[in-house]
Amino acid sequence: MILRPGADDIRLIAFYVGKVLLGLGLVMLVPAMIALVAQEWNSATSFLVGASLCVIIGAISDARLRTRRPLTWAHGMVIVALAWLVGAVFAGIPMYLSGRFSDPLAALFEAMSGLTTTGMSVIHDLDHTPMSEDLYRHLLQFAGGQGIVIVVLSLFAAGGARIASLYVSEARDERILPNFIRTARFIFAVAGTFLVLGTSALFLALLGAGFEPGRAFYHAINLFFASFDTGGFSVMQSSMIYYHSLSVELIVMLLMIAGTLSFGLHFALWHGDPRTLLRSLESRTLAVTSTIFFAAVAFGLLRAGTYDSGEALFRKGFFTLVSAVSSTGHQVNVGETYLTDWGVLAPAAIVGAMAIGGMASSTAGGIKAIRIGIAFKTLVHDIKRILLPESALVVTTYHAGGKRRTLRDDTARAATTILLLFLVTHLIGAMVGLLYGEFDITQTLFESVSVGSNIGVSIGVVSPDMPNGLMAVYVAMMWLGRLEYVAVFALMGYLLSLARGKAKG
Amino acid sequence: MHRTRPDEPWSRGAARGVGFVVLLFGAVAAAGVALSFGFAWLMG
Repeated sequence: MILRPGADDIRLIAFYVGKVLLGLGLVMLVPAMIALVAQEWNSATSFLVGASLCVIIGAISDARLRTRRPLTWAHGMVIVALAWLVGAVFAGIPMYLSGRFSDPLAALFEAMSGLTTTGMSVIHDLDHTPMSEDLYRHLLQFAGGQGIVIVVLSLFAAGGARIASLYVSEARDERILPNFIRTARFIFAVAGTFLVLGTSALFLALLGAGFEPGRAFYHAINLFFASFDTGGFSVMQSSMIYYHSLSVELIVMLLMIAGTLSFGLHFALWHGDPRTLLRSLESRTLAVTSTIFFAAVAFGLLRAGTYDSGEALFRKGFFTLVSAVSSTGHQVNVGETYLTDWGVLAPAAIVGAMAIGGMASSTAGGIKAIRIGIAFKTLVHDIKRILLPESALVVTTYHAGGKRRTLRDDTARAATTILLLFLVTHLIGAMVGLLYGEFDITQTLFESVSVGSNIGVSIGVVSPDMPNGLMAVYVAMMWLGRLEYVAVFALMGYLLSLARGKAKG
Repeated sequence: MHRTRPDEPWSRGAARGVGFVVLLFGAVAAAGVALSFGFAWLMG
């Protein structure tokens, strides 16, 4: 039996979604100010309209819906699912008003791509986008990226084992600090530190590459947001190719790696405990899978004759792998190159790396290395149970969240369920792409995995002229992938209980 | 600002955290370079 949510529940959810919109409105004010200073009047108007709508709705919900009722974990999940959906709709308003998108759906796609740190873009004429609009797209990645980490860690604190086991498979102690405020502060301290250092390093590298100081700073700050938040948006259509700079590529690679580390690991490193990084099942899994995938990429590229030098393999193949594993999506190749020049094996390895993605509790997307590690441990555990006598007690342990843990059945089931959901979604996305008859299976599978895992490396399917139906499916896939299905399913269950649930006592 | 150790300024924790990430990046990049040149040599 399911209980129908009452008016109080709806009020509570609407109140917190309103808070999110208020925050989004404040984010929009930053590019609005930049637009006013830079005299980009059209952009300034778009941002002020969008910000006004968000702030007004946020203020009304704050005044009319304020409640002291405590949040339950179910409320939290529904709010998170709605926040990313409603947030993307409102974030898309200034984009649509800018006139750089074909229709409202394309603006929604771009906003969802930003908030979910996917980084695919359907904007027209990116190379001539006003400064404020570029900054806005990149700020969305920062807000969505840091936001999702805070949300996930807060839900662990509020929801206990039920949510935690679904989200990262055994993560009750994943909350890095005892309460929400301190957690949020630590996350922003890490992001702020890397913001200052990363932007400065990129600024110097871009000066060295021949950029004017103003332009170097503008590119540096956008590159930082896109790299550290594993987003992958770019100021230029040609992405990283535009810079032709090894030092820029190395700094971006460092930021992508920093972005894909879980905040639990950042905390351990700040605390002077690097052994956690070395012992963690997640970092070990990522090291092993990345090495295997890079071997396949290198072998495939050399065999196809795409590159023949170690330097080209590192700057093109290795960079692309780091971009895929970290779920950033920066490109050092034109998208079509993966189809025309990379042969078959190398793109297949990139697809595998994109499917796995980075670490849980980071801004990275994908299935997450912890789930792959747990699935592998489960397989070994089951094989041991088959081979050993029936009376033997088989205990499997692994290291996560700074502790040695025992592998439990519910942990294994949750990890494999989410893994399966990701794979099914990737296949559905690939099949929908095939329906249009414009792309082959290599293209649609590559793009589907990239979108569904919030990566952003594109083989060329995503473009301003792509079919609307496919664009809508990709929007849903980005939303599902970012929230790792659980929150979206909770929202669906909530909607179902509104329609069919039994009224409370 | 949060302090990772109560008896020290937060900037020391930040320096340590960033330092370890730079070291990790160095290790990853070195592995990438070694594998790239190694594979190119093997297949060359």
